[in-house]
Amino acid sequence: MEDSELRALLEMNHQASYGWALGCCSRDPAEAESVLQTVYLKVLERRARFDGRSSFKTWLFAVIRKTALDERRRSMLRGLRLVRLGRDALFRAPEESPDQAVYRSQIEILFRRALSSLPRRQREVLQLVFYHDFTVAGAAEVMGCSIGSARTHYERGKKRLYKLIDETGVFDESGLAREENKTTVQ
Amino acid sequence: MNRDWREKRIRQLFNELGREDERKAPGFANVLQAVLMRSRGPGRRLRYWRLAAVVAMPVLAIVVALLLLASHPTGPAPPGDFTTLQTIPSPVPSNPGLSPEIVPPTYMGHFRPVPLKRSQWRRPASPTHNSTVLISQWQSPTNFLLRVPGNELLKSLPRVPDSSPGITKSLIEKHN
Repeated sequence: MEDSELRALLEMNHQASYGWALGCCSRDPAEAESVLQTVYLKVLERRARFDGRSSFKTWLFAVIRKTALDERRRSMLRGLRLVRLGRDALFRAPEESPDQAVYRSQIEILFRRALSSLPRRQREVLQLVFYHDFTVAGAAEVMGCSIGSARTHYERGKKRLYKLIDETGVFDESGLAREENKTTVQ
Repeated sequence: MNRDWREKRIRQLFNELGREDERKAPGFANVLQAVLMRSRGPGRRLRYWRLAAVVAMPVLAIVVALLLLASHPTGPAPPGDFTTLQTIPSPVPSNPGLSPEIVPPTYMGHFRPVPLKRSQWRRPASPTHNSTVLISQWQSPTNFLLRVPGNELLKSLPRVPDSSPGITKSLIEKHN
């Protein structure tokens, strides 16, 4: 595969890749961007080679996941967790005004919190299926585990997320639950 | 049914999350530029140097060890050739409290093995070796601690000095 072709494929999947990198980095934007840079460098320098056994997106997501895990391990070894605090403060979305921040959906915050409390593999499989529209088999390929294992993580994760969402009341606040209930009553 | 709307809701929440991420995502061109800078930057060269240093250090250590072994004499040196007994004056502090008549005991000296220099190895016994003290004369380095100032006074009987015959004479007369 030529460089231009590779770049075009990377660009096509850039938004999704960033979303996946965020998911792999506990939604830390600075870390996600760093991971994404490392991945692009690996791909462009042919240190990570696409052999066509799966779709490009599946392969790229697997590389992102592996790189994020490596980076996390390395940063844990270096004890840079404290430095991250400062970095977060610097990175805070510049386009977000204080008003927007105040009125940002409470549901979104609750959902993020519920999602972050899930075990890593459960969170990953749910994000791949619901966010990136992968099948469970595709998610298994990205995660480098068997379909059976991915399915178990998916089911358990979903169950746990339902429970967490029920506890936090995300469904009630959205109004969707009430709407649905109305239709079932009628 | 209950399950369906919950799943639908989760999908909806993930979509919202996706939209938020898309809004915050850095542009592809920016990321690519950063990648290119990283690939050409000095950090990369530094990383190569660091790697080279890590590889070179054990190699250097092995070379130094080999050189040292090569310069070392192959056979074992004869016993007693490495060290010799030399008389070393001991730093016994002088006692200013003592009167000039009472002379503190002179220190006999102690012996400490002194390693020979590499150039002295395997050299035939030179005349200076005559100064080597016999092992029978050896004394402990802490031997001086057993000697107290005025040791001679304790070992000998006190004697009335010759300069006072008048005193003894008067004493004898008084007694009679």
